[in-house]
Amino acid sequence: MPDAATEPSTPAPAGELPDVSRRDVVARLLKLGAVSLAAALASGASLAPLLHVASAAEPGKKRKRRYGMVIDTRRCVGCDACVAACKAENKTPPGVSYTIVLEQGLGERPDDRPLFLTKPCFQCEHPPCVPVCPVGATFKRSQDGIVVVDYDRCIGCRYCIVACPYQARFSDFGEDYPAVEEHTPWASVPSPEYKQFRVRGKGKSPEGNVRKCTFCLHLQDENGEYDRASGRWPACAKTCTGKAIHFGDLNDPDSEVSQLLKERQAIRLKEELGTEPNVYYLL
Amino acid sequence: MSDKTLKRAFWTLGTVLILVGSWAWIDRWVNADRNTNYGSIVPWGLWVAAYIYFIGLSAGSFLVSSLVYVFNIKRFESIGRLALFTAIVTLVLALLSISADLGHPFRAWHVLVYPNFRSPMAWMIWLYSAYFILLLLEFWFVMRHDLVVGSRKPGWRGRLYRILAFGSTDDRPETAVSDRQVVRVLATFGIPLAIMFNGGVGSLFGVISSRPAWHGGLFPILFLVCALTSGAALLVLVSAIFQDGLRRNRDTVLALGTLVLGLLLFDVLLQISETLVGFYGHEPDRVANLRLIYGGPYWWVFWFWQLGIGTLIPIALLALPQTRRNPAIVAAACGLIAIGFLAVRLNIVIPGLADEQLEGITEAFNSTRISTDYVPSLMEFTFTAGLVGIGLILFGIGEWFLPRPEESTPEEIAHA
Amino acid sequence: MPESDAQKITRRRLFKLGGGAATGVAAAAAVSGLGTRSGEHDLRVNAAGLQRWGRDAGQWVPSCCNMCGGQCGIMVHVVDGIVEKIEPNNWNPNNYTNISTDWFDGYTDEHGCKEGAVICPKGNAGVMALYDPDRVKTPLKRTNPDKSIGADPRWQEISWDQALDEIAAKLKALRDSGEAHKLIWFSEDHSFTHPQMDFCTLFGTPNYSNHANLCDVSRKASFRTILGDDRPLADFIQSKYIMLFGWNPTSAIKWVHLPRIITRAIEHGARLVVVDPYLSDTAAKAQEWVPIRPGTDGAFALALAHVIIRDRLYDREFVEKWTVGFDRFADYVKDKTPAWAETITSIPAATTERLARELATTKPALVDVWSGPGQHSNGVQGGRAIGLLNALIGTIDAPGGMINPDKAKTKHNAPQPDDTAAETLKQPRFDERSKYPLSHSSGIYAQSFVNLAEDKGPYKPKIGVIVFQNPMMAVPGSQTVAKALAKLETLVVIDTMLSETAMLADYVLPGTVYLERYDINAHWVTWPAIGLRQPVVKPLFGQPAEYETVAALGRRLGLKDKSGKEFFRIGAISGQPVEDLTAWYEEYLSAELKGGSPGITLEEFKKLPGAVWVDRKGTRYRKYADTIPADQLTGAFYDGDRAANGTVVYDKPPQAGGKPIGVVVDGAVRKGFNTPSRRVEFYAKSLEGKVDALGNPVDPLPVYVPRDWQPDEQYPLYLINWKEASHTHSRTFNNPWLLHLKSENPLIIHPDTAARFGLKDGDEVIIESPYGSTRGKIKATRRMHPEVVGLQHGFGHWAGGRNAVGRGTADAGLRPTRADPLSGQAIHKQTCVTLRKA
Ligand SMILES: Nc1nc2c(c(=O)[nH]1)N[C@H]1C(S)=C(S)[C@@H](COP(=O)(O)OP(=O)(O)OC[C@H]3O[C@@H](n4cnc5c(=O)[nH]c(N)nc54)[C@H](O)[C@@H]3O)O[C@H]1N2
Ligand SMILES: Nc1nc2c(c(=O)[nH]1)N[C@H]1C(S)=C(S)[C@@H](COP(=O)(O)OP(=O)(O)OC[C@H]3O[C@@H](n4cnc5c(=O)[nH]c(N)nc54)[C@H](O)[C@@H]3O)O[C@H]1N2
Ligand code: SF4
Ligand code: SF4
Ligand code: SF4
Ligand code: SF4
Ligand code: SF4
Ligand SMILES: [Mo]
Repeated sequence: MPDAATEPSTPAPAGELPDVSRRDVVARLLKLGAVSLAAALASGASLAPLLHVASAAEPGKKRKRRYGMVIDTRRCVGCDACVAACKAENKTPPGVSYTIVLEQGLGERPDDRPLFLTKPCFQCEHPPCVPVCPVGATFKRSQDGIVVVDYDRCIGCRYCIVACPYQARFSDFGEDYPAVEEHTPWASVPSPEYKQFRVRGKGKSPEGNVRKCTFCLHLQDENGEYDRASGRWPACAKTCTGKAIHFGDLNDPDSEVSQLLKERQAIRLKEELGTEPNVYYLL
Repeated sequence: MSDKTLKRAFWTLGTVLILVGSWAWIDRWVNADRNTNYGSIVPWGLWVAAYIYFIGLSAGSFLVSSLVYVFNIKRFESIGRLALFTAIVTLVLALLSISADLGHPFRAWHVLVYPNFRSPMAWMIWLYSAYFILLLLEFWFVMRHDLVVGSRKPGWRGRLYRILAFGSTDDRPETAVSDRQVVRVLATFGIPLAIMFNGGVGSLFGVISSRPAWHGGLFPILFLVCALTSGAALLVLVSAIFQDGLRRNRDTVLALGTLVLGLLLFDVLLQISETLVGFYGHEPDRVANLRLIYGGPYWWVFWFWQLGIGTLIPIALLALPQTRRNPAIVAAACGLIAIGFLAVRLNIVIPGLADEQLEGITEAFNSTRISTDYVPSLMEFTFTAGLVGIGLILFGIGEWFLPRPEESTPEEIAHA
Repeated sequence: MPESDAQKITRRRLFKLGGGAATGVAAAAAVSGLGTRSGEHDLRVNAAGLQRWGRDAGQWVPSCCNMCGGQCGIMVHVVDGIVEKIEPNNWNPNNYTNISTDWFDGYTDEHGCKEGAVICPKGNAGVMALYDPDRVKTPLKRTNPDKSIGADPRWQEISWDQALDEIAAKLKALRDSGEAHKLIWFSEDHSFTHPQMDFCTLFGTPNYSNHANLCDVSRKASFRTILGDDRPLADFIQSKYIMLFGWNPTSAIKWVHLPRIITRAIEHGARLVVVDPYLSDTAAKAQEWVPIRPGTDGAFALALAHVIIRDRLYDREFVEKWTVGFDRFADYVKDKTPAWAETITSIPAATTERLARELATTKPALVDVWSGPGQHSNGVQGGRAIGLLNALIGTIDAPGGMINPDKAKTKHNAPQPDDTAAETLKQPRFDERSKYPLSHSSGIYAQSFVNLAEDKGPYKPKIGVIVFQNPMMAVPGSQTVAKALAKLETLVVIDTMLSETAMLADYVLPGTVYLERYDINAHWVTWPAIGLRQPVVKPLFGQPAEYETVAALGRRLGLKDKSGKEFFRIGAISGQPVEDLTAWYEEYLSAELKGGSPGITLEEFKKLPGAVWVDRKGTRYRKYADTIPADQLTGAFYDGDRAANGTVVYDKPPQAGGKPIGVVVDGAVRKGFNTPSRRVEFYAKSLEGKVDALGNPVDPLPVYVPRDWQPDEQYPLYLINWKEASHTHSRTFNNPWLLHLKSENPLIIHPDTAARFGLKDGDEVIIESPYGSTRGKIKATRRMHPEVVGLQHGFGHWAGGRNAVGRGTADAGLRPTRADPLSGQAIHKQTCVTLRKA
C-alpha cells in the first residue's frame, strides 16, 4: 500500500440527525410553486429558463444523506473504464479527469503485485478545499455531502487545487479535444454537470474554473436520489468492469456501502489530515 | 555612468520590455491559459511568484516610507515620496500579475460580494484592497500641496496638476501641516496593514496543511522579512536613479544599504533555520521539498540565482570595506538583491507544489497539465517581462511629471 | 491639549473614509449572507438544457460496440441525431458473464442483469471515434505513383460515383480477362464478412482472407485438434483454480465480462496463477505469477502433465472414457520432468511440482491459453500441451472448466457462383493455405504478403482490397507488407482513418464507424446469444456502409449467382429487386436471423430488450455425454464393437461419405467431441504423416520443440508484446480519450537487465533486431522476466491521425513476415533484440 494509506478506520457512523439546514428564500418560493417568480428573482427575466433549485432536501425526506463510495481494491483491474466513462458523462476537456486510477508499483516483497486504486473526489467530511475559496464558490452541500463548484462564482484562483491533499481538483485551461475544436457535431453536446448543460466556448465557464468530481449529482432526481436501475448512477460505478465501485448513502445503515463497511476492512487515504474522506477502500 | 544614461537605459528597457510583453498580454486575453505551463499539479507558477514578489516589494518600500512619515527619520526624508511611489507601482504590477493568473479575472469583484471569511486569500485581497486605497490616499496627501502649487503653472503640467489635485486649491501652510498629519495617521495604519497582508500572503501558503513545505508558523514571518529586504533593496536602486539619483540621495543610499544588509542577514538566518528544522525534522515530504529546491531540476534557481546573485555577492559588496562606501556599488548590490528575491519567491511557490500529492498521479493519465515539472512558458516569461517594463515606464512617468519635493515651499518642510 | 484645526480636519477626513469602508463591508456581508459559514448556496439549473439533453430526452438505441472485436452490447444516447453518450447494455450477457446461471440470476426483462452490465474504456470512448475529425470523409485517389512508406500519396478527393466506377472498371477488366482469382481480399473477421465472402465467390476469387489468422488461429488449431472445438471458453466464475498461459483477460479484455468473472472467482476463493514473462495486469490480480521464458510454455505444460501423471493425480475416469492416446502421451512425458523443464522455461522444478499438485487437486480447475504462447512459431503444439491439462484434470465442458460453447447460429445464405466465377474459383489460393495442415478458413496473411513481396506463389495478384484491417501495423514485418502492397496494380482500402495501410492505397474509401451501420454478433458466451448492431446515427459523411459499398460494386459489375440472379440487387426475403442499398442489406440480415437460431426478422429483433436474443435454455455442460437419439442412429455405422467404449459412430459408412457423429461410452452412443475419434485426443492420429508448411513432419503428440528463434550474443533479449485495456490493436491511437488513459508504450525491462545494458528508467533506447531497429523509452520494473523486454502493442504510428502519429513504439518492423507452419498464425511475439542508448 502507498504510505498515504493509514490505519484501518472505523466504519462510518450510521444515520445522523435530520438536518436543520438553512433554507433559501428561493427554495421557499419554489415550494410555494412560484417557479417562474423564483426564476425571475434569481436570474433576471432574460434568463428565464434557468431556475434555482433548493439546496436542501424536501420536507418529509429530511434525513441528510451522505453519499460515498466503497471501492474494492481486490476487484479493480486497473482498466480505466471508470476514467473514460467519467469523461463520457461529464464531457471533461483535456487535462481534466475527475477520477483517475493510481497504480502502485511493486514493493520489495517477491510476491508483491501492482495495486490499482481508483480515485474520484473523496467528498471529504472536512474538505480542506472549501474554506480556502475566497468567494465561497466551492462548498459542501448539506443535503448530501457532495462538494461542488459554482462555476459562475469561481474566479479561477486555483487555491482549492493547492489545498486538496488528494489531487482531486483540476483546472480547466480551456483546451479542447479535436472533435470540439473542429466543430464536429460533438461540439454542440453540453456537459450535464450540475444540470447546467454548458456547451464549451472560449472564455465561458467552466473554462477558467476549477473542476472536480460531483458524484454525477446531475443524475439525482428532484429528491436527491440516484436510481441504479434506470441508469441514474455515477458513470464510473456504472461502467466499472470489475464491479469494484460501490456507491450509496453512508448514512443509510442498510445501504450496500454501509453494509460493506461493516463486513469488510476498509481504509481511507491520509487519515492524519482529518479530512475524513467519504470514499473508502476495501482491502 | 551618468544618471542621464541610466535614465535613458531605463526608458529604452521599459519600452522594449513592454513591446515584447504585449504579445503575451494579447495572448493571455485571447487564449486565456492555453499557452501557460502551469497545470493542475503546479497550479501556481511564475505569475503567482511574481505577484508575491511584487507585493513584497510594495510592502517593503512602504515600510521604509513609514520611517519618514511615521517615525520622522530625517535621513530618509528625501526618498519618502519615492518609497511611496515605489510601493504603488509595485502593487500595481502585483495586481496585474495576479489578474492574469486568475481563470476569470473579471470576476475579481466577487471577493467583495461573496466573501468567504475563512479564506486567507479573501482576507489577503481585502487587506491589500484597503492597503491600495490607503497608499493612494497617503500619496495624494503627500503630494497635495505640491499639486495645488503646481496647478498654477502654465501649460499641460498645470492642467494635469489641477486634475490631480481633485479640486483642492488650499495651499495654506496649516493645511500642509494637517496633510502631513493625515499622512502620518494613514502611514501609521498602513504599517500593520502592510504587515498583515504580507503575513496574510504568508498564511495563505502556511495554512495548507497538506503542503509540508509551507505548513508552518514561521512562514508569515519569513514573508515579512522577505518583503522588507527586497522592498528596501529595490528602493536603494530606485533612489540611486530617480529624482536626481545619487546626486541627491547619496547618503540615503549608503544608509539604506546598511539596513538592507542587516535585513538580508536576518532573512538568511531565518532561511537557514527553516532548512535545518526541515532536515532535522525528517518529515519525508518536507525533506523531499528541500531536496527539490537544492538538487531538483531547478537547483540553479537556488544556487546561482537566489544564493549567488541574490545573497552572497550582494552581501560581499555591502560588507566589504572597499565597496560598501561606494553608493553606485551599493545600489547595484541592492539591485541584485531585489532580483534575487524573485528566485526566493519562485522557490517558495513552485517546489512547494511540484510534488505528487499521491504517488503515481503524474502517471495516472496523460496531460501536460499533470506534471510536477514546471518551467514557465515563453508567454509567461514575456508577460512578466512586460510587467517589469510597465513598472519601469511608470517610474519614468512618475519621475517626469510628478512634482518634486524641491518644488514645495521650504516652510512646509520646516513645519514637518 | 486643545485640538488643533489640523487634527480636526484629519479626524473628519479619516472618519469619512472609515465610514465609507464600513458601509462597504456591511453591504458585502448582506449580499453574501454572513451566517453561512460554508458558503453553501443554490446552483442554477438549466431547465431547457435538461429538457433537451437530459437522460430522458432523445433516444436510447440498443446496439453493439465494435471498438474491439468483443462486440459487447451498448445503449447509445442519441439526441437530435448526435450521439451524446454510450453506456452498457444491461440485456446483453456479453457485458456481464459467460454462463447462464449467473446471467439469469436476478435478470429481468425490465432492467436486464442483476448488477448491471459494463463496458470497457474503449467502449466508453466510442463517441471520439465517431466524431474524430481526422476520419476519411470522401473517397481519395492516389496521384503519386511512389508507394514507399512515408511518400505523400498526393490524394485527390473524388466522388463516390467516380470511385466506384473506376474501381468497378478495374475489377471488371480483371474478371473479363479470366483473372478474377487475381483479386485478393482481406477483411476483419466479425463485421459484414458475409457480403464480402459472397462478393468474392460471385466475382470468382478464392482469395478471401480475414484477420483471424493474425489473431488466435494457433489456439483454434490447438483446441480443435485436442477437443474438436475452435474456441472453448473458460468458465472462470465457477472455477476454483485458474491457470492462464500468456492470456491477459482483465486487460486485453476480449469480452468485457472477463474482469468481473475473474475477480469474482477470486473473491469466491479461486486461485489465479498466471504464466507469463511479464507480470501483466491480469497477473497483478493473481495469487501467483510464474515468470517464464517466451515460447517455452509447451515444456512447462508437459512437465505439469508429467507430475500429474507420475503422481496419478489425473481424473482417471475422464481420461479413460473420454480421451484417446493417453498412454502414448504418458509415455512421452515420462522424461519431461520439472527439472528438464526448468532448464528450458526458467521455472524452478519445485514450483512446477507444487503447481501441478495444486492444479490437479483443486476442483474445479481450468487451464487456458491465448496469444502469449500462441503467437510464437511453436504455438500450436504448445497450445495442445496446455489444453490437454484440462483433459487430465477432467474439467472439459464442465462447470468451472473449459466449456465448448453452444454457439448461436445465423444462417449465411451463401450464393452459388456462376460458371465464370466457378472457373477462377478453382485456382489455388494465393496464400498456399493447403500447405498448412491446421489452417483456418481465414487464410494466411503472412504467406500472402511474402509471396507478393517476393514474387512467389502460384500467380501474381493484381488487385487488392483491404477492409477494416491495418496489416502495416498488425502483420509482422512492416517492410515486407509495404513491399507487397506496392506490387499490386490497384489497392483499395476501406478504412475510417488514413491508416498506414491506407497511405499505400490507390483508392481509399471512407468506412463507417460501428455506430453508423448494421451487424449481427453471435456472442462469445457459453450458450446461444446474439446481439444486433444497428445504425444509431446516419453515416456522418453520407458514405455507404462497407456492405453497401461491396453491394454497390457487385451491382456495377452485374454479379450474378448460378441461377442468374443479380445477387446484390435482389432482396433475400422478398426475392424482388431492392434499389436502396440499406434496405437490401436489411433483408439480407433479416434472412440470416430468420434462418438462424433466433428465427425472427430484423424488425422483430430490434424490439427485443436491448436488441439481444438470448436462448432461455442456457448453458449446458458435458454436452459430449449427451446420448444420440435412436432415430438419428438408423443407418449409422459403428467403427468397431457396438458396446465397447470408444467405438466411433458414423452417420453412414465412411465409404459412402459418412461422418463421425458420436462415440460409444458406457454402453450408449454419445455425442462426444468433434474430433475424428469423437474423444479428446492426446494423440492426434489425423496428424500422422502430415507435413507442415516448411515440409517438416507433424508430430501427433503435443511435443515441445523450441521456437525457431532464440536469443544469441548479438541479440540477447526476447522481445514480446501485448494488449492493454486502454487501446485496441492499432486502431484507437487517434482517440484522445484513450490517449488520455495511455499515451505511450515504454519498453518494459527488468532493472537488473537495464543495468547490464547500462540503462536506467526513462532512457531513450534503440531497439534493434536483425530485421530493423526502432526507438523506445525504457521503464525499469521487476514486472519483467530478466531475459525479456516487452511493450504494449499498437503504438508507433506514422499515419492514422494527428494524435496517433509519433507516439510510442511499433515493433512489427523488428521481425520477419512469418506464419506458424501448422496453423498459419502470424507470429507476433517472437523477436530477439539488443538495446543501446539512443
Ligand atoms: N484492450 C484490448 N483488448 C483486447 C484486444 C485489444 O486490442 N485491446 N484484442 C483482442 C484480441 S483480437 C485478442 S486475440 C485478445 C488477445 O488477448 P491476449 O491473449 O491476452 O493477448 P496479448 O495481450 O497479446 O498477450 C497475452 C500475454 O502473453 C504474454 N506473452 C508473450 N509471449 C509469451 C510467451 O511466450 N508465453 C507466455 N506464457 N506468455 C507470453 C504477454 O506478456 C501478455 O501478457 O485480446 C482481445 N482483447
Ligand atoms: N506486434 C503485435 N502485432 C499484433 C498483435 C500483437 O499482440 N502484437 N495482435 C494481433 C491480433 S490478436 C490481432 S486480432 C490483429 C488485429 O489487427 P487488425 O485486424 O488489422 O486490427 P487493427 O490493427 O486495429 O486495424 C484495424 C484497421 O481498421 C480500421 N477500422 C476501425 N474500425 C473500422 C470500421 O468500423 N470500418 C472500417 N472500414 N475500418 C475500420 C482502423 O482504422 C485500422 O486501420 O493484430 C495482430 N497483430
Ligand atoms: S478530495 Fe480534495 S477536492 Fe475532494 S472534497 Fe476532499 S479536499 Fe476537496
Ligand atoms: S478556483 Fe474557484 S473554487 Fe477554487 S478556490 Fe478559487 S474561486 Fe474557489
Ligand atoms: S462519480 Fe461521476 S463525476 Fe465522480 S468520478 Fe465518477 S463519473 Fe466522474
Ligand atoms: S473501471 Fe473499475 S476495475 Fe476498471 S479501473 Fe476503474 S475501478 Fe478499476
Ligand atoms: S471489450 Fe470494450 S471495446 Fe471491446 S466490444 Fe466490449 S466494450 Fe467494446
Ligand atoms: Mo486477436
